[in-house]
Amino acid sequence: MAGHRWTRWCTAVAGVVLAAGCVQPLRLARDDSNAVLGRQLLTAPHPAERGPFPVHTLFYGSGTDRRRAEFRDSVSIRTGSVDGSKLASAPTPALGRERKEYWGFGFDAMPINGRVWYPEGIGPFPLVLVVHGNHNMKDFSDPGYAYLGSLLASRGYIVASVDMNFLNGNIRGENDARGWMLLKHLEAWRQFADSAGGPFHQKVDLERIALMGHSRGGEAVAVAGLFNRLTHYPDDATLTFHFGFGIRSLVAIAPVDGQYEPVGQPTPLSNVNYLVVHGSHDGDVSSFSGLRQYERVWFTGDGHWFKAAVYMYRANHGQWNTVWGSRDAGPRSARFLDLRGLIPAEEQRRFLEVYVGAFLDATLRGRDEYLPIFRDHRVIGGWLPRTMYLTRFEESGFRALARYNEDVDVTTGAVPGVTLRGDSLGTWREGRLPLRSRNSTVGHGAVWLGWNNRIAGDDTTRRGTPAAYTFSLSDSLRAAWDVGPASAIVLSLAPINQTPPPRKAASDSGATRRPEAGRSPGRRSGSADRDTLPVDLSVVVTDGRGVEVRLPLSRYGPVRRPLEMTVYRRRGLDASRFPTLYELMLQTYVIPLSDFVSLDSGFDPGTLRSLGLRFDRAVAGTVVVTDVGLSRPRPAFLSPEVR
Amino acid sequence: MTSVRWALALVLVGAPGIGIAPGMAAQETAPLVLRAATSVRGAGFGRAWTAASGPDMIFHNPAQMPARSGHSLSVSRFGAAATLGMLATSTSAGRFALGIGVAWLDHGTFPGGFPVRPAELTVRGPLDATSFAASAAVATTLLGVRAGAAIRYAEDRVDGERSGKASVDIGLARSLGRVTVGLAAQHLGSDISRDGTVADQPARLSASAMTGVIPLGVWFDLVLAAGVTWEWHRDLSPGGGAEIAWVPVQGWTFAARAGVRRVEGDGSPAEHPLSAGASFGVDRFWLDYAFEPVRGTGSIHRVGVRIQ
Repeated sequence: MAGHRWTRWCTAVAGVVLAAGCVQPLRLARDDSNAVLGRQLLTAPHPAERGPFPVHTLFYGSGTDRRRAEFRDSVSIRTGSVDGSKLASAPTPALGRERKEYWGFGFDAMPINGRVWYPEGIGPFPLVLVVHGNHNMKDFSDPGYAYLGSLLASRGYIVASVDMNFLNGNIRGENDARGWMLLKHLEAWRQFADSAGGPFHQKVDLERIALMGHSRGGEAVAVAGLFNRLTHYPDDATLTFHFGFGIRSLVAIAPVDGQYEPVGQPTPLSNVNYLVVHGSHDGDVSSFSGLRQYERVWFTGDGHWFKAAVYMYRANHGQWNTVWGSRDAGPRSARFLDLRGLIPAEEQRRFLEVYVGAFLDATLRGRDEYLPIFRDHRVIGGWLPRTMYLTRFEESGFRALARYNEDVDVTTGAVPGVTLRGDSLGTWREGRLPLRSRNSTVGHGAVWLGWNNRIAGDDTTRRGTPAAYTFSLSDSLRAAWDVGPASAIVLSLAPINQTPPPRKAASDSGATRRPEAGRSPGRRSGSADRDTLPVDLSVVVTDGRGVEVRLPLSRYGPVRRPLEMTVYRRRGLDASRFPTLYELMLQTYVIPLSDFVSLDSGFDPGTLRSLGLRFDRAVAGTVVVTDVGLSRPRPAFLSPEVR
Repeated sequence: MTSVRWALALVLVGAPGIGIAPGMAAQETAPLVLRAATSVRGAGFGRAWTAASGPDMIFHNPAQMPARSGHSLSVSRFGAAATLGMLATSTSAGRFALGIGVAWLDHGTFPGGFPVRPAELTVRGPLDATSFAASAAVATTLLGVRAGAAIRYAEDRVDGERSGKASVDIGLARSLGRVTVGLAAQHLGSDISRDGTVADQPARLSASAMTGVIPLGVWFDLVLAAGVTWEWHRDLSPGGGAEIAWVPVQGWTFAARAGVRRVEGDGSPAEHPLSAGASFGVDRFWLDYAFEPVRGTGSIHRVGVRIQ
């Protein structure tokens, strides 16, 4: 009997060990949010606090919905249907029949259904449409943004959560239909605003419209932004458009990208304010695909526009929607996904309330006091949930010195008159910015700069002159861009865990010997070496008289190594599915030239001759850099500053 | 829940007949390997197995061979007296699933012991004997119904003397929501004789239903199966089983199952109505085990590996 008992115990223990062995330990990057978000510098009203307006709700729709009582029995405004059969179709006739049997209508008779939160008052109020993405079509997604609708309505917005559940489920390539449907909803809103006696008569400001979308809906808002200015459907010009709404702002929440490409090209956007957010622990859209659209938003002319991208560590895909929740991979997500690392849903949504509230106030209501948030999120440390954020930012005053898309010459910039020079670099190459998903890129260029100031040899204290990377400006370019004290250097950068080998002594005439400064020397060798030391570097400017001034980059934003994470529960699955355990998300830094003047009053920004990066604050490392340029941002963007 | 109701209904219909049937002086059939060979996982399901799927379905219902690459290999020990080895593989060729399977049984029999009852395999007789079967099958889908056919050669060999014949199987299967139903007619061929003794092939008609995975919370899956088999010279034999699987992380599965079926009541040793089994799977790789007690002497242990 003792033998049998022992065998049973061994079997049980083996089973538990085996089961435990297949689950990987929780892996989270070291949290520095207490330091980074330690202060609240912005004194504006909290954008996620409820506003002064009493909030009312109503439904508009077909009044005949077979599946939702609210769109059958409770509609206050009846709407017609639209024929979207040129933009959406079921993969097979059988699935088409199945869908039609469930909904009671096909793609040729899609209803205009929406649930509305609106403020009490005479208006007119800006209009915000929010649309969900793909999900189980029978688990209705549109109620999941009530928290945003109610909040924004209390702050003076009319918010409609648009029903597109009938575009969910087992179909693909329908994001043009989703974008078009948003515009058809706006057509309905135009009628609501014009209908005397209706609840929204003359209460809707159709020149101040924002579209907000989640997941596939996040791509749909970009499609809507494009279609809004077209006269014909690009893929079938027999379908004509008559939109032209005053869409000023787009918000994409964990969007997909490229599921619809007009005539086979990525969706271009111009002259619109654009905010995109994404969570590191997104178990559905596993890469920050919205960065692709972010890079495809262009500003022309003299209008004031900006775009911002925010990467939220520990946020997932579904918690932006209260219906979806933490189950990014379906009801049994816990089998697939490691849910332990997720930030609580309330905090994830709180972040969205802060950013969306501030973005809409800034772009639709002219509340400039919120603009600094998008330049440097550290100014609202008291408002943000404690986790780590990486942010990209660009406003319409930006002039690019280098976007790294232009040509294959690493010494030329984005415009004539710019010369790029590397000095003592161990790595200097240009390439496409990768996304975490295999064989996927942002569709945008960057430069990889690696340095190791240590001189090879037995003496590990020998250092060479710090490596540098410099942009030289011609006089004519400087004059054309009107560079001066109100200008700012803008660049996006991320350190990565690679270190070039030490320099060869013969190639470095400036080698010096100096004692250790409490920091280990450069790593042994090889780009695969993993370096975990903090990275910082100097931003250097030189004026026409040769006055040189340096400032540490870390003063203008966190300089973080990649934030690693594992999304999947199964041991090793992240490593096998993705080339890296992190998203290469760059941080944008905005560095006013006036700060250099404050440091050295002899520096004359009006004669700026060169600017660059000097790798003098870490012995070795590698950074990825893109979108380097000069800007004359509105002063509202620049204050308050984090010191 | 529809699938659960389906399966429960089938089990309830067959339940009155499950267990040990009253003594029956049934005429035995041959070759022996055709009666002894069964899927390891299916053995734990009370052999209600015509609606399952996998490369070893060539031994149960050729319609359910998967149209993708898959392999299975198993070894069964009947007490300390006999060993059965089975190998099956399947692949796809356009719209068709193709498969081959072989089964080889080593045992010892007694003089005049032809045909042999499967339960007697747990007792080794003095005469070395083997029983062998080789099958080839094809399956495809027509109008939403999976259809398959297999052709087989099987023989018994005792003391070097062979007696074998060809036979065919025909199978159908269809998914009805989350339940799959399967129907198979097997071992359709002429009789076999040895030393003047004539034995029919074990022709049989089987029908069963099997649920898809029924979620039990986040971590557990349930699969139910129930069916009925009518074999030449035998009474109707209902059977069924249930399998519960624990999936601690996607791709890793620990499963346990139990089955019951109606067996013949006469003879010793004789088959037992109960069976049980377990599996461990990582992605496409599975290790299966089944235990079938034998009334009288010994028991049957089956171990198999599947790649599917």
